[in-house]
Amino acid sequence: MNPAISKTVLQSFDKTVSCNCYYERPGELAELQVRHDLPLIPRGGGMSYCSASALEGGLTLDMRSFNRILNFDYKLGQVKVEAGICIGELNNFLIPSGWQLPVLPGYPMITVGGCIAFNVHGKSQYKIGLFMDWIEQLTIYHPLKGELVCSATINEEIFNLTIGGMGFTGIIVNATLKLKKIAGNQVQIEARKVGNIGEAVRLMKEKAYDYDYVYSWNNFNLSGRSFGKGIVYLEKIKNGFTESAKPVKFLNRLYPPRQGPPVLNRFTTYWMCQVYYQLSRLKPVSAIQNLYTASFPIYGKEVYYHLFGKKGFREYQVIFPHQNWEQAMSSIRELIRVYKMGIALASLKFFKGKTHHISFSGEGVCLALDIPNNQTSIDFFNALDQVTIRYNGIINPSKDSRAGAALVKACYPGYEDFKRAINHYDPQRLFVSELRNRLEL
Amino acid sequence: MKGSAIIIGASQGLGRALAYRLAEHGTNCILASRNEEGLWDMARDLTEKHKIKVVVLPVNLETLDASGAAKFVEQSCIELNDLDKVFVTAGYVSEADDGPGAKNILDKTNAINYRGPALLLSAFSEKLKDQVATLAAVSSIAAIRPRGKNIGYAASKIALEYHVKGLAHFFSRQSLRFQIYRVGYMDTGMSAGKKLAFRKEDPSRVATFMIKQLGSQKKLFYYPRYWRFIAWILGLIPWFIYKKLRF
Repeated sequence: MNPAISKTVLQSFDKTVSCNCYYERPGELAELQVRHDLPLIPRGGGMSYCSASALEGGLTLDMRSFNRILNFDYKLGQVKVEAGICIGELNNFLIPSGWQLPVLPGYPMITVGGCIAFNVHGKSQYKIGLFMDWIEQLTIYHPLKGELVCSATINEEIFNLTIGGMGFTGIIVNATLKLKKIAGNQVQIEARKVGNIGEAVRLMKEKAYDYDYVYSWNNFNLSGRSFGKGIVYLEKIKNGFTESAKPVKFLNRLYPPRQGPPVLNRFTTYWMCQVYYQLSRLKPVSAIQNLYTASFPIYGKEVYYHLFGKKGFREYQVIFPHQNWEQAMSSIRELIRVYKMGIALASLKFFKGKTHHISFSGEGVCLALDIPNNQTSIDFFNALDQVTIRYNGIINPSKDSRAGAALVKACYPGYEDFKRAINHYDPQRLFVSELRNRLEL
Repeated sequence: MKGSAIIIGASQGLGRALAYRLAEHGTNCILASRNEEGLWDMARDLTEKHKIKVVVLPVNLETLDASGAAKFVEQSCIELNDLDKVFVTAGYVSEADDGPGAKNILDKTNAINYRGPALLLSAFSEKLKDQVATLAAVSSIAAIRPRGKNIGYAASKIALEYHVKGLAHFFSRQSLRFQIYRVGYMDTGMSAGKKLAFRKEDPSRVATFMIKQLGSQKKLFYYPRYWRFIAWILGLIPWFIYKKLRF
């Protein structure tokens, strides 16, 4: 059975970019019907905010059929998987054996290939690093070069280029990943209320190394001393495996995306955040949750993304160095006031380490902001760019479907080297996405 | 669920989903398809996840002949001697199978959808005739009533259905169960990205349905079930109207 190549429209996850493209879902590598007249780009869960897996007139290869576990070395704590496997499914398999993927982004349907291509982070980046820190070996396939095995010791250059390479080096076929030993299959979650943004950062700093995961939800729609009032989540894996914590059959509730009129705007975001905070006050401060679902905080809250409707939303994620955090925050606060922005979500995490190519990393406080998509939101983000540059911030190009080459160049010293290396490796530019064109890579 | 199963066309789509659903029930499986390498990857995955016995047997339906089918069946029953479930899910349809253009891919379409499956089902029914076993063939809604598109595919599927019904008649005094599944649109590589008139079903849902029917005495199944109603309506439409329909 040969897969069909069909024409379809693919949207970025934030719904701000749409591409008319060709689409193929091969079941086997031998089936790839590479058309050399079309640029290619592989696609995993289709969760990238930035149109990373589509190009107007290009061929998108849906790799989700490549979702098998090829080997699990229980003693060594390593698993070899095909890159189309979802992290939720893999976690379901690993946890009962006492192992876990150490770096987990927020949604279970994200694929391992996507995690590698964007060198993603999880809820405790400051402690366990990025996805790249847990990759042992990769097999990639380039139609003009064939299959290639690479690791930190074999074909090192291609290995480094593929991690965070946004899919431009070829198709990631399989990956051997290092795992983290876990003490149990439940998580003790403490939800501590904080009165403002300053309190949140102080509490997170104080507790960062006492817990496995530390992050926050903040309400940026309030003014005065309550700005950033919210909840700091302090999570720790509880010792012991219980029968009651069972794997969950994850369903992709984000697709198909809701195309109705947007529910969230400046006024409704205010009330949504108020209600969320008040509801969380009713819950106990400390609770125990199944590790299978607690690993993915977005799972079960998909309605949030559907509320943005057909216009979609925009996300701005940025790391500011600790020493610049307060000044940067006060500028952002001022911009929110000037632009009268309704902030649907504001969240903080800590980061530690250096950037790799143009993978999102750095040292400092990471802030993520979600806003409904409209003309003001673009102006607001453009103004935020100035704050980012002024205070040596680093933006996340994979979360922002608007960020252009100039901004990324300003944030990432490795931009030019990455561009040179990618074009040297693939001079025919066979792998191209909307993102690659936008970032002028 | 005890016993063992063989899935012909196991590397993708419904066959693959069936293998995973059967493995969840602890059923040992033989995975058969043209692509041996892909099957080994699948076998490793199934063994890691479900700790069952998985055997890989490559088979090329396009070139299979009667002696090849007999050898394949012998080998299958040696590998898993409690084999009692045979699923033929393999299929092939080409974009070129449109109107008179069907003639260009007729041999391949016929071999993969009818001749190969028919040879295997005949050989398996002879081998398993003295035991309780289920032999299931996956047909298609294309077999409901002929139309200008997918002529070769529809013809070979209806031929397969007749073959299975014939075997059911021949072995009616034995404990063999023969089942035909007319399956609607499925979310597979064949339909990826296409906008279709009806919802695409997840192959794992179809697989779950097929496993539930293993004990059933019925011979013809539709999935989703509303296709039975559509088939009935299509059968009622008089030719002078039907010939004007384009779908």
